[in-house]
Amino acid sequence: MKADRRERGIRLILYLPTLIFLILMSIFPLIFSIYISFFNYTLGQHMDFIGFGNYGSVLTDSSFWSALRITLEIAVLAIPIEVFIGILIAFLFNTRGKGVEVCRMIILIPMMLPPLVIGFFWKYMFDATFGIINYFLGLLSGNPQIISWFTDVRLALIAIVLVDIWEWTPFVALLAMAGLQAIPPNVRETVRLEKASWWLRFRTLYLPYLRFPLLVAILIRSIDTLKIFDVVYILTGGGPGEETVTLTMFAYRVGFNYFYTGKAAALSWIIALISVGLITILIRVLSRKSTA
Amino acid sequence: MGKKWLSLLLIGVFVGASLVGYTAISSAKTIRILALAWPQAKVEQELADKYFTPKTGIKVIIEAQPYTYNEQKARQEVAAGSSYYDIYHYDSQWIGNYVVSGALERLDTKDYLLSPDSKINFDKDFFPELTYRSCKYPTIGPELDKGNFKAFKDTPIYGLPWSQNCEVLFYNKTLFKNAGLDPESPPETWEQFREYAIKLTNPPKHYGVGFSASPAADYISMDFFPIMWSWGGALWDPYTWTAEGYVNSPESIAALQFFSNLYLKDKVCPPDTPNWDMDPKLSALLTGLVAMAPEWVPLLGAIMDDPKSSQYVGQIGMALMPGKKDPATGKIRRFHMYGCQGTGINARSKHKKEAWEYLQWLLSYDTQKALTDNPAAAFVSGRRDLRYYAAGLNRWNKAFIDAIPTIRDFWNIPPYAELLFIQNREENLAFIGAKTPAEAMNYAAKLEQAIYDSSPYKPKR
Repeated sequence: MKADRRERGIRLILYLPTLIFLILMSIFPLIFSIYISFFNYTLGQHMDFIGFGNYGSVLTDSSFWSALRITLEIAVLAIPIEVFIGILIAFLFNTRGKGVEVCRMIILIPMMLPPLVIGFFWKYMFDATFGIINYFLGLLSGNPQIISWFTDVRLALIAIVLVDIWEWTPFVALLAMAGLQAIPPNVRETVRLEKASWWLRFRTLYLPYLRFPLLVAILIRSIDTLKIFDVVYILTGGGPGEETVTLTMFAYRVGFNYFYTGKAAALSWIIALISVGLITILIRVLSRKSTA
Repeated sequence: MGKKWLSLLLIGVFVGASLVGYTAISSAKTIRILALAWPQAKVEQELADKYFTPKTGIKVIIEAQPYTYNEQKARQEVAAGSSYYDIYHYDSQWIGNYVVSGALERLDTKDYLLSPDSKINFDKDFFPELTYRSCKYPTIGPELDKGNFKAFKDTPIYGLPWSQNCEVLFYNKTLFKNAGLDPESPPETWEQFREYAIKLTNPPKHYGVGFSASPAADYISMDFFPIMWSWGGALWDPYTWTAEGYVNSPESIAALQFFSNLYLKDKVCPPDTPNWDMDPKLSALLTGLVAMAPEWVPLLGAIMDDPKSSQYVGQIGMALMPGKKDPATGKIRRFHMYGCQGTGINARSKHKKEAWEYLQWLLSYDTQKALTDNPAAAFVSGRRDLRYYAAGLNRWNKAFIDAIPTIRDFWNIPPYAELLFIQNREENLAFIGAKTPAEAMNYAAKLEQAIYDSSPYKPKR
């Protein structure tokens, strides 16, 4: 009995540093951010209680709605393409043979690079004057191409989507490959012997094994895209105008350029609620399809 | 002695030694400076180690932060009531926020500038055109533009001049010659500037003009404001905090039309210009992609004749910004974008005396001369008694001194960042043709007015 109590005490002491760390670094800032979201507070200046004023200010700010629209546009354009190409890559490399392992490693490189590096080298590749992309487009069309990728409202968004696809398709491919590797060899052999059509094979053999990894991939990519910041920050800085300002860029600007800390806290909570809402809907839709 | 006692003794010795060490460190005279990570910060540290510390026994630690994060860092320190830094170097537009936050110590007091021992005479030592904008608060721009410094004689002083800067016109003499233009006659008016730019454009190898027209930071406004001011436009009425009728006046709109026409109609700027910050513009000048560009004096001046950086050593010329002929006087009305930084004492510093001693040393003739002499510092002094010496030392110091009388700045009031963002965004949208200049400036006026009206710092009438 005494030994039990002593062991429990030791356990508590061992938990304590983690608990203190969590309370100080996660729980307290979370609660404090809710608290300051009810104050008109510019960093370094005095705080005035304004109730839900900051939430109202965010929801009536046209820049917020513009940022939400742009973020969703990036997600809707990029994620389906990433999933499609990711599955293709997974099938392509789901074989054994010389060089396959090396190729698998190479295609994973984009997702392992720091976003800052990705931002800078795509910025140079998309450069209108000396960028390699315009150079190749010029070769293909037979005429020199001067396309200003980052100064046209639509093209800037397309460029961001293309970079996102390049960066994150390997992640989807990795998960899809894991799904394909999980197929037992005897099941694969049976279906092959039945000489089923490609589509039938995909539906009956591969899809059941791909469903869960793809669900995870779509969820993680959706959460990531709602938080997209670094690559956009480097590529366009939010321009032209504010046509590529995403939700997190907008929150960063309010918090760290304007120093409207109270409004930034309210904005962060609104973004969190939007993310949770969208992810919940996504989980329901995808799991319903999975179980159907 | 049991193990328990031995452990306790060891812990006691460790804690005791740590306390003694900490006390020794904290009692040593050390001042910390939050600086901007510019070339002069490194040279300043070297000079402080070499001259200031041996003379005074005060150790100086300069922590240089990139520009973008410097204000964030300082504001967090201020919000936390921190005394960690003793001195803040700050950009001119931040002063309003720093003052209302109580970040900076007032220097026009008996402890500092008004002390009989003070080695600094604020009005006598420095150019008022520079210091009244970045070291005194609040001031009114148009009064300073008129040279009415007396109006702010008793306005509180919160800083001293740390780094001085303005934009002038840089141009490539080789490209001028190749285009059949006289390399010793840079454009005097904006009309001439446009005419020359068209002649100098030969895409995709060479373009007439480079601007940093990105909507981020303060890039596009820095290059547009000198055009707007020379057209007779203005950002606002600083007496009444009114935007309507100023930022969207016919003159401001016409200036924006001229600015965007250079890109959209005349096509004299590289296609990526609306996404350019300072670096692409700088490299475009040094590689000959663009033939002319407004650029910060020491930033380009210090590297334009370095073969490691420039493909046109000795071929980059400097001139005053072009202007607009005033129909009434016939004189050319030209303006230069102000870009000066101040340095002040943290109001919560525990080493104010040492910090003041350091600032007096830093702003002394000898130290300012040493900084001016060292090309690695890319430094321009705000001291009046160094003007002839500096002007004779190199071309870019001379260009800066010539531009001083026509330097202008934008807001330094607390909500400057939001105002600047709106202004940048609207200018950028007009520049790429997504909005007409009138639409852009009218919308900017509406939003900026709302910010003025909701600011608690708007003067009561």
